[in-house]
Amino acid sequence: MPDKPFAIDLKGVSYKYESADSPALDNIDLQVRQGEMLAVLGRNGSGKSTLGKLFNALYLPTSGSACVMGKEIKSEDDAYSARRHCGMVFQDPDNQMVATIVEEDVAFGCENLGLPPEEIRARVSDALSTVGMEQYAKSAPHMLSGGQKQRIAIAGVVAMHPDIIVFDESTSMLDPSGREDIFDLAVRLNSEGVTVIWITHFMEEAARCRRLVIIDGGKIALEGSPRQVFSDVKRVKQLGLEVPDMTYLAWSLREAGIDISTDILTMDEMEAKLWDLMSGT
Amino acid sequence: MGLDVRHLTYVYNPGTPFETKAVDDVSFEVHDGEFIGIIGHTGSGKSTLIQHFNALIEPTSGSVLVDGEDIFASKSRAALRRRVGLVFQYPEYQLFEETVLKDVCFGPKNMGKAEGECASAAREALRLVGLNEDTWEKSPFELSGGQQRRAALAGVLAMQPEVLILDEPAAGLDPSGRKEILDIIKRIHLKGTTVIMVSHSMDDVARLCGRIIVMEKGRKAMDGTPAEVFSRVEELEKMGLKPPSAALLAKRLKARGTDIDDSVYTLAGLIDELKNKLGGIKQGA
Repeated sequence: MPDKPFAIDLKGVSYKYESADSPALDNIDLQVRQGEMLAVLGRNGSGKSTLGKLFNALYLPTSGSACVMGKEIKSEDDAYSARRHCGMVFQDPDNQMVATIVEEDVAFGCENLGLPPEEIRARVSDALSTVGMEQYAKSAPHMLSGGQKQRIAIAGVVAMHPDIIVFDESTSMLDPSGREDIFDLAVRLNSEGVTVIWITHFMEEAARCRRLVIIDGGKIALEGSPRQVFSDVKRVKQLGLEVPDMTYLAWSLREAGIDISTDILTMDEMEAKLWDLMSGT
Repeated sequence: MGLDVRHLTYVYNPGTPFETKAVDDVSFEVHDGEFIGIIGHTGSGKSTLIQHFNALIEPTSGSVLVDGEDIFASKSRAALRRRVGLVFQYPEYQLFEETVLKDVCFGPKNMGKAEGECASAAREALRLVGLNEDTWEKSPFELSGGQQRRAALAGVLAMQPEVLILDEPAAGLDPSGRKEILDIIKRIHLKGTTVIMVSHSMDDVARLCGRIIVMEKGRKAMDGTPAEVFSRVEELEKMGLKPPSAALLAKRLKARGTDIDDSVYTLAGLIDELKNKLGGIKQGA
């Protein structure tokens, strides 16, 4: 089967904030194929959120070329098309609510696309059922939990039928069950064909994406499958990040001379491996 | 300094269709120098509970005693609440002054301390949270997220509370920011401050706290040492809480019939236990 075309194609992209001395992103090459789910990690200030904002033209590259769904973003004029292709969900659910009734909030993006009212109505009701919030269509957003508000924000993006959704630490203000809800929802959207860029501080989430990149000092520091990347425990720690608990456990045991590989990610894998080792004695 | 929480009940929106009992007849004692973790599902009443401890909200019934005195009795209220410092969720949203130092001085100033005293308390607090002098004259809004969190914490520490209460102090930070703030809290506790910390992270609570209180639907569901609380894995999972991964893995291995000590609940403890059990199986052996 031929590879799918690129959803995002960055070639030598740098970005410098006007007030800064050094670039926030420095000569980044990154390709994301349509239908991929890519995790982006990096300590605070690494440039990972700046990267996310290039994908829907909130920022334009200072140099290099950035293509979104095959179209290069060169100027503000290209922003409109980039944003139709690529939606964003941010960190703080409260900052993303614009209306006083859920369905009006979800309709906001579609209204700005100038769609006819009956089309908007259909899309809003579809989007609300996609995120499992149809029974809250007439509710007031401030009565909802953080996780529910985040689902509403996602519905607003989904209703615009984007090819790509960038989630910028969208679970960081939620409790563990809200976090799992939102991550599972992103996985489902991805399985339905949406390209997902998942920016996060949670290693367990990154471990569940097919590919991840770690950004540090505005450059790509590590890239590969979670298994490849996290098995390099020392390097990941140097980059100011942690590895998943089970990988750390495997690494610690290996350091102690026990025959165990560091490419373990989940508790199921660890349990099976330890059972092998322990029942063998 | 200790706290005595007696039959505390708090009802939101009483007499309306939205009436909810957020805290339901909760009693416990906090002893001087303890480090208590409060865990529970969202909506279990954790945050409402701790807001009583410095008289921010008044209970529907019940009381909180500080050194034997009722914190809600009008006379002593102002004096007593000063001895209990409360750090909210995302406390950096409350930074407002022109400089970091001025912001941290705000609390002691409000307590009526002299200018010099305020500044020295603020400087001490800033050192305690690891903010170097070169940040003191900066606008708090120039700081990184993790630094802002620490500046906000310093603002409470500058009031020199005997009991420090924190609501999700590490939420939203990156891994190294989390570690920094939790290390600071550990240091503050080691210096003798009584600490009560609300957290969603079972692993943090398992690692740091000597005692854990589990809240469920406004009630106190468990109260004990981490070993006691985390031995009740099934009950915690029923409440929608995820026990520390080390406790869970140890339980699973025990259930398979291995002779692992399943009372471990921290990753470090599990690593030691496994090294012990697997010591004989070396690489290439």
